[in-house]
Amino acid sequence: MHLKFTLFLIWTIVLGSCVKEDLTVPKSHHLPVFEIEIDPEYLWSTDSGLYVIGTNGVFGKQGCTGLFPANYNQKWEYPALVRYFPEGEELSVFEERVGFRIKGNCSSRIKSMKSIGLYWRSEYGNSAIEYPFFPEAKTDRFKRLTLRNSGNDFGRTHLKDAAVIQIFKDYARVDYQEYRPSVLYLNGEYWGIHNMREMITPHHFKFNYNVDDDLVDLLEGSPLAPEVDDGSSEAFLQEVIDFIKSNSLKETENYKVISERIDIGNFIDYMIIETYIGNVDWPITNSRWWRENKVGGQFHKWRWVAYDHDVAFRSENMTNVWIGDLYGEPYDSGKIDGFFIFNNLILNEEFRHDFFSRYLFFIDTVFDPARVERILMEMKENLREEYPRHQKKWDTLPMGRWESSVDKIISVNRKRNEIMKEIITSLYEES
Amino acid sequence: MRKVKLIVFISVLLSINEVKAGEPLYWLTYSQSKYIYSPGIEACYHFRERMGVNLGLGVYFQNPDPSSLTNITHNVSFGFYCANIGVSGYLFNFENHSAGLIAGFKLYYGPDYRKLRYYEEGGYYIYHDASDLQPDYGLDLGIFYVYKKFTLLGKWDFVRNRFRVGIGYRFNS
Repeated sequence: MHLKFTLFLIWTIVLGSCVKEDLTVPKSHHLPVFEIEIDPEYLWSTDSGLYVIGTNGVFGKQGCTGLFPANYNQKWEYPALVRYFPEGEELSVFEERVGFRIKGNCSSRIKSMKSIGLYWRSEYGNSAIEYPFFPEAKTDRFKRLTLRNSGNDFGRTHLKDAAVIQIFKDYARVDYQEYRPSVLYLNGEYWGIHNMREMITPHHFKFNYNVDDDLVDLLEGSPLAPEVDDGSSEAFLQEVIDFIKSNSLKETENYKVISERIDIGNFIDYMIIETYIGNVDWPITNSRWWRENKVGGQFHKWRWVAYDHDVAFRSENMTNVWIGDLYGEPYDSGKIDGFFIFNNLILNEEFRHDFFSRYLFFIDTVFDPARVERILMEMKENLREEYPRHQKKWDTLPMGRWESSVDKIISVNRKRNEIMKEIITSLYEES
Repeated sequence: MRKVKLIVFISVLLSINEVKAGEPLYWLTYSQSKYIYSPGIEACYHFRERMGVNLGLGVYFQNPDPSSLTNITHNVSFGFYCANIGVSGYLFNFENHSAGLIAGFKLYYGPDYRKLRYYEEGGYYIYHDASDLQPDYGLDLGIFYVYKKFTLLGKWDFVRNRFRVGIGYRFNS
């Protein structure tokens, strides 16, 4: 009897760890739900499937360390049908034909679950969608949306980049992508938690700031040799980089000139955020800046966009501080050029004063440990109900380890806050 | 009566343990799962008949089929796969036959291909590498059998639900 019971117990444990919940039956969720219908061939076939490595692939962007060419690195776009269900609703509020792409940099694309880009275009039906996906956003109008896999953070907290945004968005003078977690069903099958995000394109700036998207210059990468996402880099290289190279920003007159070309407040906040959180996947990588090429316009100055903070607040980088020439050692010598503008601006007394005082404000207010803890707890709570199903689908961290990984952000910030306060206070007093 | 005989028989087995302490056991082990072939080694040393320690290590060779995979995260051909550490003890010992239990902590850091969905049009399954460059850890449990100098090992781990077998040798102390 005991033997039978023991065998039953062992069998139950073994079987229990193998059996999976039926994930094909849609259930009500307390998160918004996207349903995407797309020809399975566009996802899974070896020659044209976007979700597989396949046989028709390419290598990722230059600098990517992908092991092999993959279909998912292709910029193919396929037609799809998307429906959207607000949280708790069983009826969709819209059904739209859109373009379907795989998004993200190479480290994101090699994850099991991919980031998906949804493209509204007139050839599919509507050229944009008007819906309040993000209640706090400046706009309800979108041409592009990303259903993000959390990038490098996939399989870990699943909210890292979004958490950084939530922490700074009410205070910082930087541009960012709004966030809202959602659930995806792909061809009727449960596909896990996808972070709904705005996509950084000229349309984003048009809808958020009412600028002319045809006049947007959007650059990325190294400030010394930027890649052009949209528009042109010519003005930036001539008016910013060449000017700094030939004029010392120590001089008030030169600083005033550059202040007319760069949004200094934006730049200060951007540098504070990226250096405080210990973003080792930055600068140069995940660096974007933009302007509207319209003399006298409100957004004529260059502004930076804070995005992709998936490697922020890592415990192994907690004591690792790099603020260009000002403090610390480079995470990566190949990224030194990313600090070119900052290294010159910090020579100026006015900038230095503004930078340090603003940094101390961020340390005491924005990254205040109690505030960060409250934000993280709210975000964790928001995902807690959905996470077990996501975990079963993708074999990510078990619930307990997931919660610990989110809690780790809180503990890392607590320590980081002390470290940065000591460093910045000391630098401020010396200056 | 049969039950009494059985109890007496087991009692005799348990009471006549001998010579096993101080004689290390070594196994060459092997485990296989989708696209992964994992040889390894395992060793066990008993301070006493019922108390010993064991250590194991495994590497992987993999031969994944990119056409049916969403991702490959680890080195595409070879690498470290798993390690385990634990305790062991003999359960019975009768003439040249003996057997025991092994239990311990197991850690994986290697690929882990799992079914994602069935691709009907292609007639095959799509797999994904669920390991994502992160360690998995948990418990494993096994039994070993020794006949004279030769020994066999069978282990099940509750981390990835995989079976590992071993064949080995018992050395004299």
